[in-house]
Amino acid sequence: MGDIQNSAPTLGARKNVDPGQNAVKRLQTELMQLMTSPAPGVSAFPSADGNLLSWRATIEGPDETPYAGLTLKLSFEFPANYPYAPPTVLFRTPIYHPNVDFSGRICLDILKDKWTAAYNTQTVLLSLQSLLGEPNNASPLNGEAAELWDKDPTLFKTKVMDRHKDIDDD
Amino acid sequence: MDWMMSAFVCGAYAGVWSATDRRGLSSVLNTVSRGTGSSVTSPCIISLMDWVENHFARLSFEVLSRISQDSGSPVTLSDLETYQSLALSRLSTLRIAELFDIVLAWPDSRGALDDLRATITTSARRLQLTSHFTQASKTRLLHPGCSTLEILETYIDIIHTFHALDHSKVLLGHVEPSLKLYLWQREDAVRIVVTGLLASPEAVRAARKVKEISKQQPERQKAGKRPEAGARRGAGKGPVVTPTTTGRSSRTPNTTRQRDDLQEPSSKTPGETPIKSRASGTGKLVELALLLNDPTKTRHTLVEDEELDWNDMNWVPDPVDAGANYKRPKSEDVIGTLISALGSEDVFIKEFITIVAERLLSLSDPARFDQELRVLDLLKRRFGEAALQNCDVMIKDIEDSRRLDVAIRRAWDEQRTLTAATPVTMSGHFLRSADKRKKAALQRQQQQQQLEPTQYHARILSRLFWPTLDREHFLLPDPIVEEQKRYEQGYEHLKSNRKLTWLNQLGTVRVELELRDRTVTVDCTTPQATVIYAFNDSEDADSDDTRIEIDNKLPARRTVDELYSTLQMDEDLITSCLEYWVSKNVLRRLRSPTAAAQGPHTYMVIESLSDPIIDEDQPTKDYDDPFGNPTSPATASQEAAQPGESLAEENNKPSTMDPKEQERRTMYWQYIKGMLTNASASMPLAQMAMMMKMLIADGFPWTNEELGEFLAEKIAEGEMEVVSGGKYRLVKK
Repeated sequence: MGDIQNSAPTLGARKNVDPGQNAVKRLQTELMQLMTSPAPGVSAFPSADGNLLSWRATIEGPDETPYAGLTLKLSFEFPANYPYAPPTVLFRTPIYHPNVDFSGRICLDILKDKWTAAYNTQTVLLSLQSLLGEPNNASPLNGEAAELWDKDPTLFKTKVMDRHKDIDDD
Repeated sequence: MDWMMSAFVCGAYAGVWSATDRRGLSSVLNTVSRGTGSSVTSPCIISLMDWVENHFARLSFEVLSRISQDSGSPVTLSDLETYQSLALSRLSTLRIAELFDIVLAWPDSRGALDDLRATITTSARRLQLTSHFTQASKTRLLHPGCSTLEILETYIDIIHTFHALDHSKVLLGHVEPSLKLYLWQREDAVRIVVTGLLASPEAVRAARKVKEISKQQPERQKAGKRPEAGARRGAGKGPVVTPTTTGRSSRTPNTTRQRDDLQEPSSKTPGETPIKSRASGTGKLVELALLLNDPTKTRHTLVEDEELDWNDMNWVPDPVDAGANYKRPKSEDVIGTLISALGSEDVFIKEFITIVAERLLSLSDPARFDQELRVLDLLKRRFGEAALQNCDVMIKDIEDSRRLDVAIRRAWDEQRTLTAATPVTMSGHFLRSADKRKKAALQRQQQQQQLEPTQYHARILSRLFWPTLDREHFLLPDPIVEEQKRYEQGYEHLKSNRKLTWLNQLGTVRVELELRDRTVTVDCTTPQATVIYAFNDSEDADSDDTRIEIDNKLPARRTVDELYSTLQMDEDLITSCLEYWVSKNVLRRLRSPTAAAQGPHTYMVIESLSDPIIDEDQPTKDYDDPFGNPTSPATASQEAAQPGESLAEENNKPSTMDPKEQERRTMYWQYIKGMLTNASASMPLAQMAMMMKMLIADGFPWTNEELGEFLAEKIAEGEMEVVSGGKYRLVKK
């Protein structure tokens, strides 16, 4: 982590620009890619205030998972040294999931120590989409959900529906 | 006193030097060009040396001995050598100035190149040569007046010439950059090269013939030219004041004999113009195909890989002006140089694949891919197997579909035993989707049979490996649609789990039109056939009637609008198809008031060529089947017309909107959807425009009004709605 934080400012200093500029540029490119080759079921866009370091994203619950038919909203906060450090990703929609706690924080290795600059917003969204169908029950943030996932899928589904609440931005 | 004297004499000599020198050269040059460089040591140099020794040296000896008070020989042997080297440098200056013409005259200018090779010995002179040539090519070649084809042809000559001049290619490397830069601006360059490579054997043969003729022509011209050249030589011996003009005028007819029409119209002679026009008249760089087919050149590339040939007795050190990373190229690789000059291999391969795809689909006889295969093999050697794998698959697709076609056909034939006549051939294209990702395109050709109205052949393409082929929507005639369905069933029976998607516009159709006084048989595209078939329909209603009844009717008329609503084809495409039939003398555009009353752009069938302009003739456009019964032309025409329609689909390349613009609109729509899905569910127009401007890296050129129009379209399509406060949002589905 220390390395990451050191290297990015050096990069920026060499080019004599604000380090955030590199992140903004990268995010613009990512956005272009997302728009020109969108992946099914996921989408993302910078937030309405025009801050490119803050994005909103949407995941459609994959079929044949308890989340089928649900629309899940997320927020992405990118650090100034992105992509050398991972974005902070939260579920804004309340979700009942073994690897998400009740404030929307996510336990996913690629958003923590396994992050590399090769990942991008789209790959993160696709990873999260597959996490919905295949939770990592070995390291749960929500122990009850992890237990129910295997033991009582019907109850799990009920809990998911109880917890889910469509949020509206307006 | 003595010193002033000699200074004056030297000054005078300098003038005489260049004058006599040029005069000498211009006469020598005639000999050289005629001799086409048969000897290794240039005759020009030999005669120049001879002249210096026997004439100039004597003259200077004469003069110097008169003005000098010293006794003894004023001109020593070393002086003679100095004179000779001075003469050589004059010669090289002259040749450098001529270089562009020498290039144009390739391969008749080898002699001049020998001179040049012998005289450019210092790096300063090499530099002078390259910079001068770059300058010349800029003013004479690289301007909008030259077609890309001409530039490329000249480029090939330049490669030949410079290779003859300097095997190391260093000089070429110095000259090339400006040419390359310019060629990159010419979008059609790659396409011309590729089509040149794929030129048909016939075109190659024609080019060979032209080459032979052009070889003979100079011989003939020589005879005619001699007096002329002699006259100029005579003029050159005139006053010393005009040496420059003399030199130039006498050299152009010789060095630019073969094709000089690029920049020097003044030097054109009647004999040489046709040669050039014939060569470029083919519209293709057939030279490339010639080179590609030349077995000696091919062998060259094989040897190329060897590291160093220790037995090479002609080895010379790398030239002094070679760069540090200079690697000695071994052979005169025109095609390779050309391809690398046109940018990356990827671009070239992509273009190659596109063109091969077009050719594969347009070939009426799918058996003949010889030329494609040969070019493919050669390119593979250059670029490696992997890069051209797509082409292999494409060719295999075509071959497979031929087998499949036979199989499907056989299955049908078992069901019915009919004598098959093959009057009408049609084809359409299909895409089949095996699963979500895999699609294949099919092209069919149909042939009409007695009972079976059309023969339909398809080509099945694996979508992954073909360049993207657009689908154009229009309605095929019903009989064709039935054929398609039948074919589809046959296919799905053979290969389960696969589905066909038809690319209707890519087909070809053989259409037979039976008009009152003539029968027109044309191979056309599916959209063209569809359009002409539409003129047939009205008669079909009465088709059971006798011919006389038909004759009493007016020729069929259709307006563009009518066709648009019945065929659902793009209007531009309809118009282009109609124009095609007008050019075939099958349709006529009506301008009379009555026609105008029917609406704008009315077209009518020309039933009989002898018809007066205002005609009451009946229009019967029939696509005959070969067995077409003369008593029931209408029926025959109906069946035949259907195949025609599927062909018409082929043509739909001209689309309503510029594809790039279409692409941009699609991308902007993605942005808008992304924005309204994620950033905020509803937004006012100004904020959306601002976000787009900020977020799209290449800029967002639309004004708020244009964006508003675009959004209004989307609202009309039911994708969006306006909510309170003039905010836009996506319609929830």
